[in-house]
Amino acid sequence: MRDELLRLLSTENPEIDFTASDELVDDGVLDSLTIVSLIGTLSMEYGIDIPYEEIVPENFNSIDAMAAMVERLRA
Amino acid sequence: MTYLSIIFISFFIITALCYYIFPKRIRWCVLLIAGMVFYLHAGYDKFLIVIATSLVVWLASGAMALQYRKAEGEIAGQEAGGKEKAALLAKYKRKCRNFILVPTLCLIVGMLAYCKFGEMLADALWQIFSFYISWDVIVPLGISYYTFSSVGYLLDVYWKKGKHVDNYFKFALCVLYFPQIVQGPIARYNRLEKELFIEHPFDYKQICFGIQLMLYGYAKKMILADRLALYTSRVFGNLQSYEGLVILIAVLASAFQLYMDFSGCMDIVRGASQIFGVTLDRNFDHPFFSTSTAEFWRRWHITLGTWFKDYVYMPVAVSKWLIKLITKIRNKFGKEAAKVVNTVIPLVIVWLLTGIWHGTGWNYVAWGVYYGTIIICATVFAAQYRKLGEKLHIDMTTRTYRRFQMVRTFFVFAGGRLITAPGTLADTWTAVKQMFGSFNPWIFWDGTLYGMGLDYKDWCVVVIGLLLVHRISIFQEKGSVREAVARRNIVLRWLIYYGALFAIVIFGMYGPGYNASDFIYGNF
Repeated sequence: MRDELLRLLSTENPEIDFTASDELVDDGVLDSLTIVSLIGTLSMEYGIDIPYEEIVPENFNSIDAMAAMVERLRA
Repeated sequence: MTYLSIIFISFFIITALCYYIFPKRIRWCVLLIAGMVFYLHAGYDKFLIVIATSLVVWLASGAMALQYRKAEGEIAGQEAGGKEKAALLAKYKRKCRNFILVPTLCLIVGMLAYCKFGEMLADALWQIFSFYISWDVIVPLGISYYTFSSVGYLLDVYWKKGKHVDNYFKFALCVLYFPQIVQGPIARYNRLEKELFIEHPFDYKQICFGIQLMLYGYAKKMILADRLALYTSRVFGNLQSYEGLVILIAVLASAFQLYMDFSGCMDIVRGASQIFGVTLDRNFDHPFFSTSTAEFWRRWHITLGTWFKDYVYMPVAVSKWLIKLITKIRNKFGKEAAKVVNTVIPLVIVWLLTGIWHGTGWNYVAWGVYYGTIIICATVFAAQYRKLGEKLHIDMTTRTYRRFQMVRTFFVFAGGRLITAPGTLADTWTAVKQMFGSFNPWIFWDGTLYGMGLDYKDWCVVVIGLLLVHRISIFQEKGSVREAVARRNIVLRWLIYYGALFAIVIFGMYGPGYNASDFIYGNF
């Protein structure tokens, strides 16, 4: 799941190195515009609804956190 | 009770003395009583409205917290997991949304809309149907600020991103905390609660720093903003009589006036709060150093920007209807088109609302469209802009280019002032026509410029003052100016303190019969 997600997001956003940090949001690598675009990609690709309470920095700070969130929402 | 009045300063000193005389654990009660007195001074009817509003919001958040506790109890009782748990939570969430959240939001936002548009509606009824209603709208002090804070608080509790404040009186203090009630910053009650209810010890250094920040704020407001206001109000009040550079200077002056006025007030508010040991959210981060309009709005009125981001932009951007729409667009027109729509729709909504928040006239709608268009174009065409720079061999990393970007951003901001400062859209059009109607550089030496509210000495004070604020801002970007001053020897330190105080006394705009003009952002 993690590798698949990394491939998908890296293709969609080639300018971002998703493995550069474990605090992508807190370090300012991902801003609100990018997060919105990521949410759109994840929702469309995996057919999930990401409720607003899931949109917290902890769920987007690393590729592992994003993969965990997608798996949780697909369950 | 304006922050510039003697009555406020006396009230503040008495409150600060009482605050430190009483034991630490009940100091928050002193602030609550002070908040009530401050608000009662504005009118008991307004006080009753704010108390009723805070009670409704508190009861609603308590009811939602109770529903969520029930849901957790039911989940634990049934040992539910996975989809069953999600379905149970969704059931309670729906209940919260339909029966608590939406009615409460309608009520408090409706009150804000009534206060903002009540008179406009009465005028419209009169013009359309010749039907006159005597509409005496009571506008509670700081209604925009506490309404926005309350909406944020309710949504946070609903989304389980924030907690319900158990004690009503503590919640009432978050709403009525007097340093921030008039002009913000827009508080996040859960964050403010943590600041207000820590037991703050007496800290001499914090008190000195608080007084210094207040003095700096008073200097910005009384020496610069109120001085510039004399010129801008004269020009914008008689647009037909002026032309060319007189109007251009008024537009630029009004940009500086607004910054000195609003950021000066924020310095007074944050300084006053620091004296109580309470740190408020920053509302300004040297916006004139921004290299783009989007960055400018991340550094200007920060708490309003983050409020719109958290409670409008993000919820709209990730809403089901928008995701469905962009999925359709992606399937039909491709990924790039879907990305553009995903960016544009939430930004359009945010900027229209931001415009309406700032004022009720059509010029504020135009102002929202103006900023929305600039920010959307900058976001959507960012890649093309970068490519154009490369083709033209422009090095966008140099200091000179950065300075060019800062000046460009300032002029964009001044353009925004041209839309709102003259008063109406018709006035803006007059200002534009008059401004481009002639070129009159001789106003600088034939005395014209010095006979419109400000004389030559006043302009010197303005220019020197602006340069000083610019210098201080550069220092602030690198570190704390107050820490740097505190490290100086006692003679130099006190020279700086007395210098600041005397500057306000000598150059401040007041005197017999003078009424310090209200803060521009105090009417929201």
